[in-house]
Amino acid sequence: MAVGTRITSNTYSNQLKYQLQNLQQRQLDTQQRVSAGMAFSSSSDDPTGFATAQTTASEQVKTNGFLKATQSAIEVANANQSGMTNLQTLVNRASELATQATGALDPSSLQAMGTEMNSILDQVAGLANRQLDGKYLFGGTGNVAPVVLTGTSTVGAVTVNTYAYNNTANYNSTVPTIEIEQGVSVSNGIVTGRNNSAPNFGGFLTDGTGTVDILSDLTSARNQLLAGTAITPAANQQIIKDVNYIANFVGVTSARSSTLSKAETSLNSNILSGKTLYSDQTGINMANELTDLQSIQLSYSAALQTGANILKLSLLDYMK
Amino acid sequence: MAYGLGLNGTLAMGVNSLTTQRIAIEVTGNNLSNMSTPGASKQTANITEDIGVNVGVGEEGSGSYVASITSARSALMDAQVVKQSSLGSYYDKLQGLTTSAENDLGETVSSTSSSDTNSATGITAGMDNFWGAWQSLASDPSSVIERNNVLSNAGDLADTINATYSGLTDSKSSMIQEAQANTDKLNTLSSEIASLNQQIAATEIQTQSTANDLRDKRQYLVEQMSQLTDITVTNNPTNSAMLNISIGGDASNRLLVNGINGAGAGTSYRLNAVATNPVTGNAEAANSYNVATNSALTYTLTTGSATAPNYAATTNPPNPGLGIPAADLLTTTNQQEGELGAEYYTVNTVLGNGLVANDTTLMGRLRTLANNITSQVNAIQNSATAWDANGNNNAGNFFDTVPTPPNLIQVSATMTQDKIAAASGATYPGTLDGTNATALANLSTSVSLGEYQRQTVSNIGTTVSQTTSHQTAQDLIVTQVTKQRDSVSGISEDEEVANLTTFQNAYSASAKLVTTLDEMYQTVINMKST
Repeated sequence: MAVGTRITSNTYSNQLKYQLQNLQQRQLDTQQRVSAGMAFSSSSDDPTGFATAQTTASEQVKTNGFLKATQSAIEVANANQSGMTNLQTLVNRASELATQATGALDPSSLQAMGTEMNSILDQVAGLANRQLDGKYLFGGTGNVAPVVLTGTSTVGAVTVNTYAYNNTANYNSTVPTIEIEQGVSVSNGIVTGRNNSAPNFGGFLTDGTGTVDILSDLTSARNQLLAGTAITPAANQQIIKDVNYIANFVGVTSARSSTLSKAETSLNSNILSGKTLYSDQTGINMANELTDLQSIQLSYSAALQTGANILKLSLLDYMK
Repeated sequence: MAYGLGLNGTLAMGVNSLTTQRIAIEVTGNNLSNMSTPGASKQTANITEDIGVNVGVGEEGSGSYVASITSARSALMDAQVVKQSSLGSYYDKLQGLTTSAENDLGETVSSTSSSDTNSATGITAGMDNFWGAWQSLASDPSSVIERNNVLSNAGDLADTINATYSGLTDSKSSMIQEAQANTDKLNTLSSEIASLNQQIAATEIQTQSTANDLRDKRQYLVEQMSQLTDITVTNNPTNSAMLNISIGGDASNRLLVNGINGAGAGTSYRLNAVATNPVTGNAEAANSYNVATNSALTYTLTTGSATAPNYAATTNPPNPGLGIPAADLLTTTNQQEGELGAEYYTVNTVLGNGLVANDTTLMGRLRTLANNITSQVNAIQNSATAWDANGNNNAGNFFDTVPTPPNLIQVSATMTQDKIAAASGATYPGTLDGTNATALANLSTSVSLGEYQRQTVSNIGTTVSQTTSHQTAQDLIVTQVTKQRDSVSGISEDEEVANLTTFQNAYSASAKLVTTLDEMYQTVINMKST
């Protein structure tokens, strides 16, 4: 009768030790995955999967950074848009007054209109110096000084404020640039402009060339009205030109807010997809893992039981 | 007419049979008592029929005797076990050492990924957070909080890189010490095997029989030796009872055991694990791990005593500075087996040192990464168009170009939040310009930084993973060859107990024969009396 490999006393125990070791290792690996809910805990568990997950995690951090920057930019863009809408309202009203003041009105009416025009001018100057989070909203990247400087003078018997564009080097024409996705940056901000000291540059109050200068136009109109003098058609036309000029900035700032809002939506969507992708890359199928664990534990228990039975049996027990 | 053996002859046969069965029982007892003795093999009392005697009508047997006691050994299977155990312990050890290196790297991934910081651990997460801090600064360049956040994250990243490198350094030092302990163990085994060679040769000449137990013990030591390194076992050409053991697959040279010589004595070599300068190849002054030079591991063969390795005796030529001939320096090609092979491979090929050009090892890549971060951040921070919060350009290096050893990277001591160059332009654009911070944040996409580190992590992960696969396969092979060898040499309790019963019965029967003959003698004597 043919007999297979001769089995010795060490065969069972060596084989059992090897099998138990393997089962314990599998049990440990599965239990680790189940408890962490992750497919791997180190690169060696799945080098490619680990590297992919690390890349996704890095991209998520970057995308979250873009989102944060975009949300911050939206705050600025909304403040810009609000500022331009306010300015448009003020300049529209100034234009209405100027149009009225071109007609035959008595000096007291003109002076009353001059008082309102003065208030509008103060508001426009105040708007130009508006701050957000302690920074001048329309001050460009220099941003350590008000963009419009205030002085006083008298017009007739009335003491009024005078306004001039800040000519210090800290007020410049550049605006902050925000990166909203990899390699895509947007300039976020508008400046007031400067028309009284080189280098002059364009902004929402002046185009920097003398063609448009709202501050100057409103100041002239106010002074004329406070002096009881009617507005000349030419001065009125200039303010109408100012109205059209501002409309452009309202459009630009509105479009920028809209662009940034869309970018925010897109980034939120990217983050959500990245989160799902990351979960797919790192997560486990819990039902499968638990089934595997149960199967391994069953095998382990069976190996222990059969092993113990075989090991404790001996011919000696049957010999008297 | 038949004569037979006669009463005396038959009595003698009975007595011989008692002796034979007693010896068989003794051998069985020896087997049973060595069932759990490491290295013991099954011994068999070879019982043979005694010579026949012509008794006139034919040949009559004269009983049995123990012709020899042999050990059940297969040279082929023993050689297989030696070879496969050597590979098995290489992968076992390599798996442990490379896993330790992977753990030192400390790279994890977090369970979630939706935060604007990476909450995982390790250098990759540190870099993500560092670039993220620059990104935040770009959004709010005048913020002192964001500026300090950049400095804080830079410090964290530098600490992580330096701590990782330090952890790898400690591991490497431990591995070299372990290799030194293992060479000591190997030399002790060489010495013990040489001593056993001598005992076996003397015993076998004296007794004219095989010294089974001594040979078992020697085989066990040979197998222990094979777990330490790649050995080739041959019979000594002048005395076949003795073994010669050479290292590195070269049977004629590099003999660790040469007959009665072992561990560097006489004509044998002694193996030494030497910490060496990876650039010059010279031995470190105290022959221990040198943090500054980031020691490599070199194995040398020397003659001489254990306490005074006879380096000076082999000085032709002194290459590469240890006083050891190049031929006696072991290289990776012959160190791919055993624990010493794994230690050599991990120290020199996996961990490396980063002090030589184009070093692609773990520590080499870590050093390159630190250099890349330093140079690329400094280039942008310190460029002619970069401006700090004070309106100064060329505001100074962010990281020191020459960090204080053993640091690989450190934030410059003169770097303060106001000196961070967040703005960029031909002239100073003001405090709200963050374009330079954006440029620094975009270093996250540099292939020589984040991607480079992820590749490093993947490399060590792949090494560990492949080693684990090899280890699993090799463990199975070792289990199989051991099982096969046990099927020849192993002791079976059931077999021995069955044999014991057989021999016991035979002994009882032999005793009965003697008793019967005694009665027959009495009958004959009584016949004479009457």
